[in-house]
Amino acid sequence: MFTLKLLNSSTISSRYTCRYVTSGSQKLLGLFGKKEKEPEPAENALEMFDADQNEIDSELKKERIQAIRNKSRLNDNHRRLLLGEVPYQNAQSWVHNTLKYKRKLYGKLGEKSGLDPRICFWTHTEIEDKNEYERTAYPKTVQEMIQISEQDKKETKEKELKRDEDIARNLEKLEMWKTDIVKRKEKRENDARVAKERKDRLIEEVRRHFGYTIDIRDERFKQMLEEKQKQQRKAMKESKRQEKESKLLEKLKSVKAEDKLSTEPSENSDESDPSEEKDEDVNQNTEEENVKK
Amino acid sequence: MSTVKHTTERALQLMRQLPRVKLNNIRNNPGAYKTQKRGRAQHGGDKHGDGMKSHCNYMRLGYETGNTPFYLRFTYESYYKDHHLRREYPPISLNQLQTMIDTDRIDTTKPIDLATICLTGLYDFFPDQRQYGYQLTDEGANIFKTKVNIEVQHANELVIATIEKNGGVIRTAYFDPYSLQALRNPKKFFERGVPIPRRMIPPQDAIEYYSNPKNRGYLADPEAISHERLVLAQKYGYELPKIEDDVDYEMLSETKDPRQIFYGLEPGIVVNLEDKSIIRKREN
Repeated sequence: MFTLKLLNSSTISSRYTCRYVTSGSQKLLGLFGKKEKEPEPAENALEMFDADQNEIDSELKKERIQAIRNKSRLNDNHRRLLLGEVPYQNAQSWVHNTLKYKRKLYGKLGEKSGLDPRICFWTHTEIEDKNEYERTAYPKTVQEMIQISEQDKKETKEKELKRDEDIARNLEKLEMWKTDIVKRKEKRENDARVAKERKDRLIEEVRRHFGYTIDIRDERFKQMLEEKQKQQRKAMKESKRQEKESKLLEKLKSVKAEDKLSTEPSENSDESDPSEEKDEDVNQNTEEENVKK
Repeated sequence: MSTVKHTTERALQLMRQLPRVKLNNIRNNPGAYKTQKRGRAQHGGDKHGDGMKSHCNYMRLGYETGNTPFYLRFTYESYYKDHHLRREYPPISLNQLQTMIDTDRIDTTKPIDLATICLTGLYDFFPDQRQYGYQLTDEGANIFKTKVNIEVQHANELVIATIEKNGGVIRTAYFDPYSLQALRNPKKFFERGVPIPRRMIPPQDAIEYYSNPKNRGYLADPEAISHERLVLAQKYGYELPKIEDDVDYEMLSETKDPRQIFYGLEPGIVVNLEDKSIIRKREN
């Protein structure tokens, strides 16, 4: 009725033999496996052999018990990972041979990982890299940076102060500048007006000179105008020269007057020349002072 | 014969020196292809490829029927300029801190750190988003009543005054992004199996803040800090408690070296949490 599914003899022998041997059920042995004849050993060797075999047997037994208990159907590596054991007994990828992975393994499992903790410390190249990074990223010390920030603050403050001072100074001159601008404008307008009037007068003169109505743009008119302009310029130059001369004369007169004043007291004094008598310096000094006043 | 070079020889010589022919150093013959330009004005525009009789088609996105569209009006908008360089400090209020202390999430018998706050499980920050730690805000300054030794990355005057009034100690410290990753999840960091790194110094624009005793910066002179404590007490009108006479003086005076990341652990050591061991390099 039911098809008996018998397991392979090899699997049976690996999984169940020990159990039935220790439980002592000799009967079942006959069912599942051959009765193994135990060889006749020497006495001492037998004891040791037995002890080792017992150990091995107990270990194997434990393993097999654990194997039976493991009903998780997980990948062995995943199961070990979950239980906090070294997941990969052998490197199954190049990643497992990297220093980073080994450090992580040590970090998570500690001594259980079986790794030397010395791998956790930085290698020479890593230290050099880190030092170089620090030197480039943070070239200045804290004190230097504090000094720089203080200097910057000071500079900005000074700049602001200076600007404020400049503005204050300029504000004082503001009214003066305003009047200057107005004056300059007036002067410009004045000059233009004066020049225009002069020109108009000239044109009138020339017109009068010709007598009849002549176009301003006519050549004869223009020539006449040029001549008159030249004459005018000469007259102006002469007047300017005369002004200068008169000014110079005034200056000379004033200088002469000063000289005269300076020379007068020395002639009027009762005493002899100052060069001859040096003992009466005091009196002379007082007179010079009077002159200066 | 060797001196006279015919054109072919010259060409071949040139060819030997030129780089390999690739797509980026060749081009089409002139007139081989025309660049497709969007139709405009009389020839090409008008009905924009939709024919005479059908109703109008959809215009391209952003088109505003002729006037300069909004997306083309401005050639430059600097709202987010340098945003990737600005440091952020996500806030934690004194209210939140007090709540955590009251609900036993934080142990006040030990110094409070960035790691402590992260390990409460309530708060997390993201160093890769330019977040450089926490700032303590003054919301809840009126109800804060605990003596703590706390280290944050930014705090304002009122917060400092509140903590010092309650007999505590506050410091502002800078941590570079690598150290922040270590502090944010110390367990994960130690599982990496690498030695503890050195904390880096702050950048130039942060050095002023962290060297100022008013902010209780970790780079400031301790004497200046104690002077500022007095100044602040006078400003806010409370009596400055004497920390030296305090029972928890040792705990309150515990600080980190500017190059230290974790309390009690110096850089260069390997910590293993599984074995609960510390491995140090030998001096020689």
